[in-house]
Amino acid sequence: MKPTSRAASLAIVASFALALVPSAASACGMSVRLAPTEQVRVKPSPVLEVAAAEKLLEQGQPVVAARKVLASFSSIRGEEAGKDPLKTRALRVFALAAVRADGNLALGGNQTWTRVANLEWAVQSLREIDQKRPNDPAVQADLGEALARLPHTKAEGFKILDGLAQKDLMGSPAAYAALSRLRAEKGDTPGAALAMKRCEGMAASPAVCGATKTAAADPRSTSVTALLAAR
Amino acid sequence: MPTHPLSRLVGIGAILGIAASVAACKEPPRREPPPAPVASALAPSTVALAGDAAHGKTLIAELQCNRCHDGTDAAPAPQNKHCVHCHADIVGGKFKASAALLSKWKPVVEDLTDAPSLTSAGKRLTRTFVRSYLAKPHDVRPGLSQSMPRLALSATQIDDLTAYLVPEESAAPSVTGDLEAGRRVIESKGCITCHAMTGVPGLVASAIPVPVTRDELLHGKRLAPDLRYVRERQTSAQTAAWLVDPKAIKADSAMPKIPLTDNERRDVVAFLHSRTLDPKVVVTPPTRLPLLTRKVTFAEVDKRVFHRTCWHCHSEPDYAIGDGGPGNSGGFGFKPRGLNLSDYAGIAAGFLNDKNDRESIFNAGADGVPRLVTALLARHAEEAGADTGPVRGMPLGYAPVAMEDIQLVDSWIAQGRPR
Repeated sequence: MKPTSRAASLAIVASFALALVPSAASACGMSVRLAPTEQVRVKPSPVLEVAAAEKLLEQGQPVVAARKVLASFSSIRGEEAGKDPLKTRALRVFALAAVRADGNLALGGNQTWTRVANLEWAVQSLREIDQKRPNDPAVQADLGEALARLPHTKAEGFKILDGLAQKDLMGSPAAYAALSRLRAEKGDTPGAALAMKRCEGMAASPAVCGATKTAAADPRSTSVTALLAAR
Repeated sequence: MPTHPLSRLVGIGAILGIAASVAACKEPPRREPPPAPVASALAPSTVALAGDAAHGKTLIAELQCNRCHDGTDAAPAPQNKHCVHCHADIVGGKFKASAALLSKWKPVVEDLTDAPSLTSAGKRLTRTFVRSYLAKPHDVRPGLSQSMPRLALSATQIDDLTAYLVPEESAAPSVTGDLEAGRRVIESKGCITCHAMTGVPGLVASAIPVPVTRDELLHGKRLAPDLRYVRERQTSAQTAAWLVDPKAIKADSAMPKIPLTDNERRDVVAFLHSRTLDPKVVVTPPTRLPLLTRKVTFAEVDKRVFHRTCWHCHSEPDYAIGDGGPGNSGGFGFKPRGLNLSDYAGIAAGFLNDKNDRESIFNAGADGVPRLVTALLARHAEEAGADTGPVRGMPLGYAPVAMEDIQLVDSWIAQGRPR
């Protein structure tokens, strides 16, 4: 029997290769994993920025996550899903940040984005990602979560989220929180409680499950809005 | 001595030598089969030629054999797809990374830089072996940490690949020799320095009688096959020809040319092909451990299993130039399964089953065992030589995950997979 740790360590090594040296990382063709203690760069690479943004999103800090994305992809709003894998990931993170900030996310330039406009944009972006990457429950859960934010798309969102939950294919606490809300609105109290329990069981931070309801109250929203508007 | 890639005359234990040494004569008598000349146990293969070699060649490309093996007659896979070359570049300091990082990685990937070349497979392997090995690979190289995975091959595909790799069967007559003399040659020519020969206890290692560098020795020890399997892999005539000059048959062989007389060569061949072997040690696959009663977190499971082992082949395509690895985007002939084990949400998202429907990896089978746990346990069973049917052991081709770590995964699932 051969030591398992060798293969294991290789995976770790490859991950650092990607995380720390993007060009070299591409040479290996494997994925990235953020390892904060390993980074000593003054200016993180786009790969690292997106990975860090994703982590912030998981921790319930959507606005800070959006700022991270913009640091590397200032025109993310206009990016097309599926053309470039990393930009697609950045688009996904930014769209979800808009959703989890409940649309209260201003973007740069002279554009003015209302809450609803932001949510509509996020829905369309996540829909585009879903089309480019069909049959992926992780993407579908993101889309369902976004759809749940808008009155005219709630039904579609519920169908997606409930279907994923029924098949036990959903790993997003925020998506479970959205499903919990939708079930509660339908009067399904036990179902709502069940979804909330799943959310709490998988949330990186307990605030994530409640935060989806009150993201707009994130105290950083205002300052970051100003920051982004100034770009 | 400078090392050239093609001159890695690795100190693969020579399989040759002059007749018995005085020291050997002084050893206590061994229980050996009769030392008189015997016929080789294996006659040249008589397997009927079957298969479409041209299609076999296309399969080599389709199955991406060139991501691990050189010598396929196809161009090597691009560097960002070539598992072995990528790892070798890290060890060789050619990988684009800082010196500090390379020195950190090197010790970790040192053992993952070799895969046997397929050069001239037809001159050194029988069709019977290639066919059976493709259908059910088993570990023939104890020095390599990884082993050939069981690919998703039909019987026809196996025939086609075999026809391509072994286009002609040797009709050379069997070689005969003196077993006891063969043993003395093997023991005096350094063979056992690199090769194991399980089933023959007490073989003695000796110095390799030709100069080899340290790197050559390490390379050779990693690739040296267990000599137990010589009789499965080759005809006696092929073994005899190989011993004359390995590099004349396979230029990139790690085995050095060691001078032997014709008689010595015959004796070695006789020993390798006819010496009675002790039965293989029967390994019983370990049984599933009981669930832990303590709380298990995702962080713990991720660190010890997903991130450590699974994720290298089941990654997130967006972070990997669009290729999530063979376990996600497909590869080595396996269809894309869309399984991303790089993060919690990806793990929860399951995989695409044979009907292209999404299915959770936590779904229990008829035996009540979650699918993920079944796959991890199956790797142990494969290592023990068991037939695992449609279930492929994971990690594919790598050492099994420790039973304690499988227990951790199992317990985490049973506890509702908390984050």
